[in-house]
Amino acid sequence: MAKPTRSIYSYSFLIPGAILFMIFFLIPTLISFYFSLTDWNLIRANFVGLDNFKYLLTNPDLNIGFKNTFIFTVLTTILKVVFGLLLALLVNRGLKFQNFLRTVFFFPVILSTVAVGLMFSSLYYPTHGLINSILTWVGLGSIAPDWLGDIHLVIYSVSWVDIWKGAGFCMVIILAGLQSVSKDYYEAAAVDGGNSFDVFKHITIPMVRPALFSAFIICLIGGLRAFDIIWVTTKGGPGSASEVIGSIVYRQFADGYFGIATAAGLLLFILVSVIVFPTYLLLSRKEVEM
Amino acid sequence: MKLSRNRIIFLGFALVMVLSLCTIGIGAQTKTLKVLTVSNWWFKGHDAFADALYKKLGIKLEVEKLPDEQGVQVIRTRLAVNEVPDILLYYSGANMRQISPEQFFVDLSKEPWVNNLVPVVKNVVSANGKIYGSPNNSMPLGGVVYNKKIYSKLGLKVPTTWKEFLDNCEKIKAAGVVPVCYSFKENWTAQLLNLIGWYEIEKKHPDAAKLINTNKLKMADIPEYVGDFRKLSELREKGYINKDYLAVTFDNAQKMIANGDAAMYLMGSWIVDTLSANYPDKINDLGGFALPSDDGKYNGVTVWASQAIYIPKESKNVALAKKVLEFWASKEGQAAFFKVQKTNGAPSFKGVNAGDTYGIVKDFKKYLDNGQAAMALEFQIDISLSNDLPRACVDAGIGAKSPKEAAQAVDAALEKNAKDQKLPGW
Repeated sequence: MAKPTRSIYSYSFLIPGAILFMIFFLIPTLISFYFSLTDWNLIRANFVGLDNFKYLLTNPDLNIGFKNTFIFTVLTTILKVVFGLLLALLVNRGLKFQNFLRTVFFFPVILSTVAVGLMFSSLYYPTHGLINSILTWVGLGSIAPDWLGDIHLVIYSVSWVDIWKGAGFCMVIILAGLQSVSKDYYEAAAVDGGNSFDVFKHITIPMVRPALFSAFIICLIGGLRAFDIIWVTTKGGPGSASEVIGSIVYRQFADGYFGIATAAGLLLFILVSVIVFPTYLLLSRKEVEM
Repeated sequence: MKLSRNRIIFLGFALVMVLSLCTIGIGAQTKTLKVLTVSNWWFKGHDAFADALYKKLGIKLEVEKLPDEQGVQVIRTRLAVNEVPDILLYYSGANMRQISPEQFFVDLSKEPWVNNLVPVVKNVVSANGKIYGSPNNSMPLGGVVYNKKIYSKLGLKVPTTWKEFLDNCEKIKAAGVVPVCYSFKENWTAQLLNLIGWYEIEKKHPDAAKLINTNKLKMADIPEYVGDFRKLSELREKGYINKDYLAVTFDNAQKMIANGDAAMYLMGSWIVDTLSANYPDKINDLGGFALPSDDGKYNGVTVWASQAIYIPKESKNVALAKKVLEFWASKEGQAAFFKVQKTNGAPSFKGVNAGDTYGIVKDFKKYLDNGQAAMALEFQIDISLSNDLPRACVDAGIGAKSPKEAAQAVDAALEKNAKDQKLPGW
């Protein structure tokens, strides 16, 4: 008697949130499935079939976006998690200034993306930016590349900006995982005589797997969706050399081709689903039960 | 009556309410119209005009300036959601026709000043035979802006063929100055070479614009157009440009050419608006000449129309806005503008004496007066290229695309927009 009414009562608190979610997220997503097949802009919407998708996938200036998104995502995800792990291990050792270090490493995460983009544009400046100035000073001036101007290098340069900015975030997640590892395990290893590498491989890593996987998934999704860090650093340039799916969506909307933009957004949705769901399932099967 | 603390507060509150009612009354007597514009379309001259307008008609202009980069998108979005100002500045030509002017703007075809417009301007502010806007500024002219001091110091003459141009570049490079400044960080500036080379193409291919508009002529099939992309890359290949060309902005480029760090810059005469503000003492060192063609036969400048002033239909002050435009088109209004701002091109209204102006504009105007000028392509066709043309130019300039591939990318962009607008022939 009391139980059923209680659960209806509790569920009813979800209704406002659910309504907002449906109106602003679920329904637009479903509607966009239709609109990606039209050439809609603010005053009309004619059905054009798969033309938008054909344009996105065959135009060489645009399908470089898919390649770049792939490179960017793989690079930033792996390196953010790796650096995050290393930083987390560093600040978990009980050093004297460890709280200060944690703040310092996390700080880039909360910096404004625009500020970071401007800063790195300045650092990467080919003639008198800080990086090339240092290279010239140590005599390597002849190999100092145009970091944001070389079309083969630019996506990697931008990836590093994102890694710098995001490693602290992964550090915090992994740190939480590290701190939840019970000291008993380490004591047992000390008793059994394991060296630090064994400890790392057989105790630390397995126990922080959940945190590692969370960080991995978050970075993966973020990398696929990346837009702002690329836009403020290069605007997808030079030419189209650092375009990613996010910047393609933005650019097509800005130019007024909303149908193409919606189609690009839909491709991104499909891409994220196809990559992230299986990855998540695969990783969660390997989690160690705590 | 005992003046307790509460009573004082109550009286004070009532007084404030009454006073604020009075100010409402005062506000109703000065008419204020809202103007929406992108920041770099509004100059000192416009402010001077706004002052003259207030003095003469008691109308105050409240100008909202949008940032240069996103401004156009914001304007389009606001129009679509009916959050409109009383007066709107926007592009003219194909860019205006693309946003359905019949739906958003008041038809101004019957206004008295319409016949004062120079004929080419009349074309660019109209769509489907109806006139929707009034030109915002003079018609800028484009070619090669050069530093006269460097030229005279090195004893160089204005080149009339591409080979002479390259020879000049070699001599300038040997003297330790950057021959041509590229500012590809702002990719719109990469289009200039193709845009200023249009006179040659019009002379060699009459009706080119009409044929392009109806899909009967492809840009990739115009050898001079492909050649312009070649020239863009050639200057980089021969080392005649600044090493940091991908990081230099429009502002940096102006600094370089004003200070003599670069000798030449491919640009339109609208540059004098910012040059005169930032480098007033150096602007007289600069002049202009037409882009030399390969064979030297047809060298001329390109003429742009300025942006235009429109009145959104949903504005609540259409009659007042029309009065503002009438004053703008009058001799008095134009004089107020040009008193403070030297003209950056050929005046858009007939019979306007814009007075003296800068060397760059005067040099380009000589070509115009001589008939060696062509209207920029964007004002002769219905197709709008938005951001695809600058990107193709950057790709050609950095060597990512061959000249032919870049021209093909332009064709693809033309096709995309023409199909989107459902233009006949595509």
